[in-house]
Amino acid sequence: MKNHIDVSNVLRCAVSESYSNLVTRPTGVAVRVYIEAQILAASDCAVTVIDFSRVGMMDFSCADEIVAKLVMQHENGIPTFVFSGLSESHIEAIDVVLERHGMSLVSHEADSNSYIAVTH
Amino acid sequence: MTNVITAPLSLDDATFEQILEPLSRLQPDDRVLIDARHTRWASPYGLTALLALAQTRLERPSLAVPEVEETASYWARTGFFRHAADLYELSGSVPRGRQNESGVLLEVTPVNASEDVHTVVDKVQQRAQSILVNELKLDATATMRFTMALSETCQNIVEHAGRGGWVAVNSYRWQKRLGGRRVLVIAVCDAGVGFRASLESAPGRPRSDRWDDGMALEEAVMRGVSRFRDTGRGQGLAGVRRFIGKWDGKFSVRSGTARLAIVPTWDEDVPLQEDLPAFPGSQVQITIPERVDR
Repeated sequence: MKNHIDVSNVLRCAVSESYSNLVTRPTGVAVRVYIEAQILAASDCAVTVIDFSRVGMMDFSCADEIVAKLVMQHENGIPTFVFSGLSESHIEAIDVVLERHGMSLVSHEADSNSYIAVTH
Repeated sequence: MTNVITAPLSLDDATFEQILEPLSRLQPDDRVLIDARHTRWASPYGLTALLALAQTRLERPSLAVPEVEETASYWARTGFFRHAADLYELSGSVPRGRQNESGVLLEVTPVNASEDVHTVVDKVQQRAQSILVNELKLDATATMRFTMALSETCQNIVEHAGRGGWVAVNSYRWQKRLGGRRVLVIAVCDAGVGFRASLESAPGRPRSDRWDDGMALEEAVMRGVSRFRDTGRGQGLAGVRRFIGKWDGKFSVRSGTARLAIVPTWDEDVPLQEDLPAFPGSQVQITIPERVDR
């Protein structure tokens, strides 16, 4: 079973109704904490899809707080995180922060806009 | 006694040093008048740095506003006087600016908290697309990278400066340089603790023989060192540096007595200037030139 989390919705619920961009570290922390609660509430799901398709811009601070820290806090691979709906600039920001933690994004399925983070 | 410092005709990141040089010889509580009556032009850096300067003074400084109507009117449209009125005793004729008709990409905006960064990014994102794509001839993805660079430089204030700062963005055509190409300029200035003191506050930071403002800038900007132990920190300015390179842009950071610049081929600046007049905080400028197909 998959747990689908729309990051844009999380941003609006956890931080502000009016925000559409993932910027600043406090915003990233608030979004990650909210996502963690959703993961906990659906603990029987082996896969969690983190959907960025309705997110505008994401800066390095949010990429680090939301993607890198989320993956690192679940190093046992449970659940498996699939990052979907990523734009070119999202991928760029995530690549930079993951590299710093010795990880990188790889395509989850051929010809899809879904990625997983793997350790180098 | 009031110490009069004459502002240059053209006020930008380079000529602002002409203000800082005499200022650095004064005590923080000395009375200062910045005489900008004959100033004809100011870049976003010039305007935001003037506000940061006022924040460093214990005695409220004075500012004689530009006499040329066109100049004063532009300063008003950038929102400069609205903030300057809180920091300076203004003398001369201060025009009222209609901000909704300002024509500038981002008016002079205070950055005090994370919410301000959201506001800045939202405002600029709406307006930047047409300038970046139509005027600077950059591809559409540049807007995201540009707002990311803006976000990271503004966050630098919130995370490290210890006091509020200022941001302004505008595009204009260079008259003499770059063959009259358009440029887009971001300036983010604060009068906070600066890079050196910020890095010194890191727990257990190893001491080295050479430690000064220049080295602090190199550590933070070139090597992504941060005062935080978390390995995920310190990526902001280092990431901005990478973007700027892709656009053949220029990135300069002044802090304390040093200034580090990522210098593109079209500019003759030096990568590191040291022994500059001391000035608190950090002052960042990003210049993105119009793309020319070679």
